[in-house]
Amino acid sequence: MEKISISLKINGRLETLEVVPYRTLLEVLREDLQLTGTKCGCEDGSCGTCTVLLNGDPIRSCLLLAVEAQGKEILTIEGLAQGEKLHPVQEAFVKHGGIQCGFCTPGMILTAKALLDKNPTPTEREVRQALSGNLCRCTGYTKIVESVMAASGQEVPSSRKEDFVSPYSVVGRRTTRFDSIPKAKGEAKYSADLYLPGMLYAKVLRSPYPHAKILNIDTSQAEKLPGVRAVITGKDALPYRWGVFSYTRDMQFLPTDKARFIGQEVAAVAAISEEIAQEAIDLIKVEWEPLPFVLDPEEALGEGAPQIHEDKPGNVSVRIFVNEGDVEKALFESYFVEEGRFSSPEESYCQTENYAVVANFDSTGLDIWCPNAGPHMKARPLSNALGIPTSDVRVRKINVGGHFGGRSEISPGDFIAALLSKKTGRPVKLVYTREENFNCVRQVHGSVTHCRVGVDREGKLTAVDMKVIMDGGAYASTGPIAASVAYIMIEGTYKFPNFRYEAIRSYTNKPPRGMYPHHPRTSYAALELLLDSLAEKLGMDPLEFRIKNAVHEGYITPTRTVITSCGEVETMRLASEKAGWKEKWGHLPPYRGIGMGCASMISGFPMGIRGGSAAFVRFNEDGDVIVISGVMDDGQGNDSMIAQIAAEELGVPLTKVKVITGDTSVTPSDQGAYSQASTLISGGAVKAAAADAKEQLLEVAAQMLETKKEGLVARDGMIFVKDEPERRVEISKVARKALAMNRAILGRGDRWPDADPSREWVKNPRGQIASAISFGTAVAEVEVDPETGKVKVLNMVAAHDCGYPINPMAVEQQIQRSAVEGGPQGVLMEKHLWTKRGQNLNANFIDYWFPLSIDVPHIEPIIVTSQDPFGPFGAKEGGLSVSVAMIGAMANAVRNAIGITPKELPITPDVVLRLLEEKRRGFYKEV
Amino acid sequence: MNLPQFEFIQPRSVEETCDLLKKHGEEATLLAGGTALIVYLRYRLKKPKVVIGLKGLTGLNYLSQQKEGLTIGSMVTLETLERSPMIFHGYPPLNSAIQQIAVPPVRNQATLGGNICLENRCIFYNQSEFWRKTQGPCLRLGGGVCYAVEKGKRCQAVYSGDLAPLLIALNAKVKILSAQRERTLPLADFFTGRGEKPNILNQDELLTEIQIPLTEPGVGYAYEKLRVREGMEFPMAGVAVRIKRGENGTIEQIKIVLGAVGTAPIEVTKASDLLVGQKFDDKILEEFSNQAMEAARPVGNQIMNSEYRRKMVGVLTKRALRRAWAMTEKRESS
Repeated sequence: MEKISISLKINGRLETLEVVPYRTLLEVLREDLQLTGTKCGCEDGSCGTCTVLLNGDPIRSCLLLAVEAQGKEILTIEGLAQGEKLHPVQEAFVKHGGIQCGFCTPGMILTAKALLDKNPTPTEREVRQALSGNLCRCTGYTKIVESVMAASGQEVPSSRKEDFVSPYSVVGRRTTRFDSIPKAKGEAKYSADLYLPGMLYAKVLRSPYPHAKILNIDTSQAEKLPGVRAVITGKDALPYRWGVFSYTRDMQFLPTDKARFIGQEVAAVAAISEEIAQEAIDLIKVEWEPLPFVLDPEEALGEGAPQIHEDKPGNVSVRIFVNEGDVEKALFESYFVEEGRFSSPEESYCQTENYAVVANFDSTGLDIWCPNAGPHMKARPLSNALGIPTSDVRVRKINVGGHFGGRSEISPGDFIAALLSKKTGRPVKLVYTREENFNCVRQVHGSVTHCRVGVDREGKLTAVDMKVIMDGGAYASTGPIAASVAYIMIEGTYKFPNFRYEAIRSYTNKPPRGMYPHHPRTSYAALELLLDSLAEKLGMDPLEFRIKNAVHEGYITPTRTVITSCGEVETMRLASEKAGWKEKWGHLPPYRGIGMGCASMISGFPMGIRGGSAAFVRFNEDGDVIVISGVMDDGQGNDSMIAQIAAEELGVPLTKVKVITGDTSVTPSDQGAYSQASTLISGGAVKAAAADAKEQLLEVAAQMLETKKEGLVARDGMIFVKDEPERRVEISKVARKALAMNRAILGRGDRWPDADPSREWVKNPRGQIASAISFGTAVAEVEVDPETGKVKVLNMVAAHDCGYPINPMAVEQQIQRSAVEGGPQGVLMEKHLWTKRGQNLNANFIDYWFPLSIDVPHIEPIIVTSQDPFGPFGAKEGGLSVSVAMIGAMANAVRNAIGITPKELPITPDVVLRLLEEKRRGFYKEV
Repeated sequence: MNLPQFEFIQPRSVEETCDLLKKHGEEATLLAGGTALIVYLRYRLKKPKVVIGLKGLTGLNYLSQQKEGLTIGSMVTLETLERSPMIFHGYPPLNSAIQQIAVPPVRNQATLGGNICLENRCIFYNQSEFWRKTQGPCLRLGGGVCYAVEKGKRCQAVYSGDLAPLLIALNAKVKILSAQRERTLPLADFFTGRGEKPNILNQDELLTEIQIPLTEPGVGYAYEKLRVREGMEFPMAGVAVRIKRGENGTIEQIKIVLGAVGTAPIEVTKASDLLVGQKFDDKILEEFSNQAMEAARPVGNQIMNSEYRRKMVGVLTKRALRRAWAMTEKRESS
């Protein structure tokens, strides 16, 4: 096709380009001009990450042909700052915490700039409206909106708020995360932004059947296509099966026997362009033998259901059973018992970044860049699958555009890109489409929970009996953990003398489901809704009822976890106070409702030899500190978190600390950003390494100051004699002196979860589950439109006991995003629908109801401290309890508004309306 | 996912466009704002050899207030309309309807003509090529099956434009041009009711202008849209009404047009026939609402179930009527 010459101004520079007519402006910006600050997240105009300004107006560059931009002026994120000087909107996003993973940031900032150019002092609603076309999964939108308001010169809560009163110099202070400036400028690189010399492009052939035998794969036509460099199928792979646990190894990255869900990887091509790779995919002929399939988890467990895995009879992927005390007896003797069956379909993570991998395999081994939550957790299975030593696999550090549990595991895509690179000897890039990101990486379980809860006459809980069926999809993934989290969170939240829980995770012929903060959502909704029913029967205020049954420091859970620090009751009191609980509960007009939910969250569970973290601290000649840790930053701010810990421990200013993280050839082992362990375990390891380095510094300093090291103090970049601050020496000088003495400062430290190593998810669910437990309480207020059933969220407040906040701003970010995850996402909007054949009907942002900035109110975050004895500076985790707590809060708010207990999630308008109609007709009896 | 290959031509005039359409016939597709078409191309729902880009047609980018009403060129963007004082002050409900379309940056690109000429949507059709191949071809793609309606014999993809129902209620007209002729017809006659070919435009024709008559004194109108989120979504149902207040507070004229609950905007005919001359009260609202629900034809081809969408047509009808009636009161007093 003939190219067309176009001239346009991009970031003030006149560019003349030759383009084919069927290229979008987005492709030209990213691929031809390497302006990769403009992102690609959906390709149908729904996500907003590709926003650029065209003659000053925000547009979707994925929906504009480059040839149509002829003569226009384009501003991309790269053109906004003047060199070092950030644009005021960028500055505000950095200062007010409007940036987390950073993937939506360029689009957000440009949209906000265009708004302020036209409307210099917008109202909050105007800001939310203007940004409603830019999806964000990491912030809950609150800090983004505040950033824009602040950029317009208006006062915002985060600038008003007094800083957390911290006795420390660096820790506990509201700190600008140092990943935020590169993200605000569009410099931060994500996997799909990488372009290596000689790079090939990969595409994957996927199963069109939910369940079918692979009889033969003929790749000969594809191989002959000019431009194709390699075609692979399962036959090119070692006979390796991946499983998170030794007893869950059920997945071939490229199956040789059969495909078990629509979209499963079957073959792949590497070619000189994505177009040719796709063309080659269409030339691969697969002979299939379609098999009977099953999509419903309860049917899958029934007799005669098609067998999905030959060695897993009855399609039971995992069964978890916990039975402590005598539940039947306790329920029989209870004053009141409430029960119900609650169901929900699947959810999706919706990271704004689509999955992307770049693999470069040469004679020294494999280099690979991909979204991940723990590089070491990827390196091991990759080395096994490729048959090479782990040291030959280098998982490299790269920015990650959101995780939420969904980047926990190795993805078949990682292996496919690596194998194609091995076969071709060239770098290979594989970028998933949004549809693939919905279906072909892990997603969130659908579930059914049957729950019974008993209470005595005084309002003390007597027993809980919970039976859960989880739809696991076609493979085990993290099944044993996923099927356990509900009971672990629940037993840590309320005191249940008798406790029974059974979860069966069933295999179905749907995409496999993985980890998620609040899954299964039915279990938390079930418990919290039933608690409110019980409170009502008892005539108790739900707040008092919860306080009465809350856990406390020293409490031992039914499965034998000791709670070592606990601010649960304080979260209940503060959240309800801020939300006006006392004034509102029972006093709201019809169809207005307020609800509360509470949760506990474990930090750092036993993960075998991969469960700990180690770190190094070293000094440059100029005295700057380099921290080396395996921790991964997926946007939650872990890099800044460890830098703050190291700076505090060493007594140096934060600006002196740089970090190297998440690179398997450089950084020591780390458990990864799972189980809310990063602050507790990785942060703890860094603190230990910094303490070790400080000891070494003090020894040298003692010689220099001719004193004993015991009497020395390090603070603000100085080491001085306690009580004689004039006798001092700069830490940078000490580090240099140490080099001259051939005693280079090298700190090392490690941290392991203080959990019972004999505890096992399936075989031995007893013993200390985690080093620390955090707590949260959420309150939501809603208004229901009784004619349409639409639920409007009026207010969300969430309090979280984080132990101690390393960076209060980062903790607030986590609280706010968790609130949206649990509430609007989890309870009100998000679900997948499937065709009768098992095709996902809404694998896109137009039909999957991802909440927009305009759907969410301001979220008030409250930080509660409890000084955990194990955590670094008393810290536990950043705010995830809120994701679970808000499930109960939102569900109870709706219940309170309509006077009926909803039994299915999400509580979409049609569900609300049906409940109201049933109530009107008297079908529904709320006893 | 790359776009398929095509030749691109950007004509400078309406005449040139018409000549190109005549020359390339079935092989050509018009590209206006692109917010719908580019996605159709990416999903291979359309595979034109030639794409005729209309953004250079400055002659179709106008908005003017005439004696008879408003005339708007088809290439005016939704954002321009939204910001136009002529619409904001002269047709406030139209401004509010525009604000409910997609999200602001998309409105910077999408055009009025494009919005009216939207292809009908169906959740079993508006999917990727892989998805559709996996399912097998539906009626619209030449297969024998409708996946939305069991044993369905015709394509029931939904007309999902937000503006057409309101413009029809306002008795808007459209001007259509080809190399041979120019014709102007009521927007109500523009739609075919066929899911796979929703409007009457011939292959060589171009929608050039939308004419909105002045609203007489005593007229009120409104549009209500059903969606789960406050943005981005196509309507799950839409109700546009126009009502004229007669003397003594009776209804002199009424028009109710439904969107997104059928293959074309649906005019609720009974409403205009039967109830003229009556008082505007709750009883009459109930009747209009029932008629609207009866006229609606939602089927199971959206994420939201059709039973709920039908019910909401009733609710939205009442709401739209109340708002429109309130507008007639305001206008009378002013």
